[in-house]
Amino acid sequence: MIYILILAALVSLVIRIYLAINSIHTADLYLMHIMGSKFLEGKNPYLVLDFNSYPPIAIFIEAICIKLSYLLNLHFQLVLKIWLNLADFVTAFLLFKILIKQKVNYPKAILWTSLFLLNPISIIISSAHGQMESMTNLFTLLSIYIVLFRGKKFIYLAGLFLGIAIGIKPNPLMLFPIFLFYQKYNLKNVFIFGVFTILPLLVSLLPFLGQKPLEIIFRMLGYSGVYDMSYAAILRGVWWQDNAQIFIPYSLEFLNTSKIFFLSYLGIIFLIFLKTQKLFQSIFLTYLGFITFYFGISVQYLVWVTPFAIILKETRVLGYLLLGTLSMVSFYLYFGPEILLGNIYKINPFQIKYFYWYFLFNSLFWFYNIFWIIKFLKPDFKKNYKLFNKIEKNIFKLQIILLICFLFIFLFYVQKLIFLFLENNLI
Amino acid sequence: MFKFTILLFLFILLFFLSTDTFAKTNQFLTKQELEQFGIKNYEDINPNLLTYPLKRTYENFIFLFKFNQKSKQLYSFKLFEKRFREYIYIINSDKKGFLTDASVRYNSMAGAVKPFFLINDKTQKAKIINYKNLLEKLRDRYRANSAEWTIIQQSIEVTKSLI
Repeated sequence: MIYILILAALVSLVIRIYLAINSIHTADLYLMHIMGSKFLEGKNPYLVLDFNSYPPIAIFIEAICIKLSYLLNLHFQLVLKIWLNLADFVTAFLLFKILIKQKVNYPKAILWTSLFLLNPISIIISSAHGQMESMTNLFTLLSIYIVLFRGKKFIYLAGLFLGIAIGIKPNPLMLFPIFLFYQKYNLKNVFIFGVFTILPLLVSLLPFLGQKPLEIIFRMLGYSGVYDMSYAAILRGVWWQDNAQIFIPYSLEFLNTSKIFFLSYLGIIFLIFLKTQKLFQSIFLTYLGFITFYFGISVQYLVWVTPFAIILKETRVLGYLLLGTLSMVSFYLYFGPEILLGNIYKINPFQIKYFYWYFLFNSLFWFYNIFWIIKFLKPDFKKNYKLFNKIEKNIFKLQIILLICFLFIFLFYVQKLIFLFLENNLI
Repeated sequence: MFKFTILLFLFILLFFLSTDTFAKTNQFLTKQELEQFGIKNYEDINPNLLTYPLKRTYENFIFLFKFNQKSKQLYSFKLFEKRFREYIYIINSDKKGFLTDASVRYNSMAGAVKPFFLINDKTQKAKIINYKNLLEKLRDRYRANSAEWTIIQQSIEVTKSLI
């Protein structure tokens, strides 16, 4: 059985090396290089650049990779991708360990780990696109591993790992309340966890906070994502029919409404978590809910869900991986084929024929995710609801009402978009 | 929740299954002006719509069942007329984002019907002359030698080559 895992690892490695070697210095890689370069020049990237920069640990990683690229005489993107892919392999090893600790039998654990190693979403993001989600996932998983399977004396390490994850990309910040209220630990441990989570971000941010600290924090956390995937792609498709335009009206309204909608959804998940204390389920639902309900989904965010779905042994992850991959590939082929294909094959961007696939697969992907959330929540929903006391039930009902209210506000803007399209296209 | 999801899905689906044809109110040429050139109606599904690939797939599927040469030629000519109406819709509605693709499709179809185009058939010839004249009128809405002007001019040359 171990040979399956070795084979999966080898095939994964070959594909990753092939994609990485043939990738080109473009898009996010180009921007990351600029961030790192500005830091090495002694400048504050949060102030000198006209785009939002990543959290400081990501900037340090970029700077180290630039230095290593000079030392090793390799391209920057290749050096960076070595670390990203290494993070994926360590994540696979960690997933295997977690599955064994959860009493999953050996052959099944190997199959699930092999699935992670060969999943196209992680391979594309780490090897072709070059985004740092694999590192964030790794440190988040390390934090969870320590919380669940190591003694309380290592609680500071769990906080530290989560803090490092947030210091690379801010998305694990939405998991922070879940960790904080994991009641395995007393108040003292919760305090230690909280302090050590904030510590890496605070320490790494200090060199940059000299002038305009508030502006810097806003530049770091203010990135709202680009509306590339999920239902934003569907709305984009509606508007695209007007004159092949990719920037949709009311995007700010959609974004702001989706933020509140997602927070209401998060409130519901958090309430359920307080009763059930199921860490993996709550994290999985948080990330999947983000991808399903938030407006500004960039393509690399699709990576977040996979490790947790695998730990939960969710077979529906196969549908997610299939439709997610097709959505991603069609996105790249239309908007930025050079990101995916690099030197392998040159095609021009914005070819209409790829937009149809982008729209179709993102539509299917979004509906599949809604189906998945419903299927996942439904079996235990009534049982969980019965665990609530009166106050919790009222808070729960309030969250549902808030959810429905913001859904209607969202649909109002959808209707405005559709009528604006019809106005431009009416006889 | 499940029922709500189904309703939402149906809402989106109904929108895209609509066969209503929409055209811009401020089009270059009015319906009456188009009728002078023999264009009574636009196509139901035009190249800007997301359902357009389904239409093309259906046309290709139907073509598979044209077994003899005569029926293939007749169907090809029908497709040529469809491509022309779609092309006119795109130009007349000033949908520049779709102009290149619509032009390529029209030019390709013109090339496909050319081998069996009956130059002695007065009806067909009159139709093609109308097409040429309409394209020239729409071309002149754009600045000379601009990208749009050049694309339409190429289609005019292709149309002229039929007669």
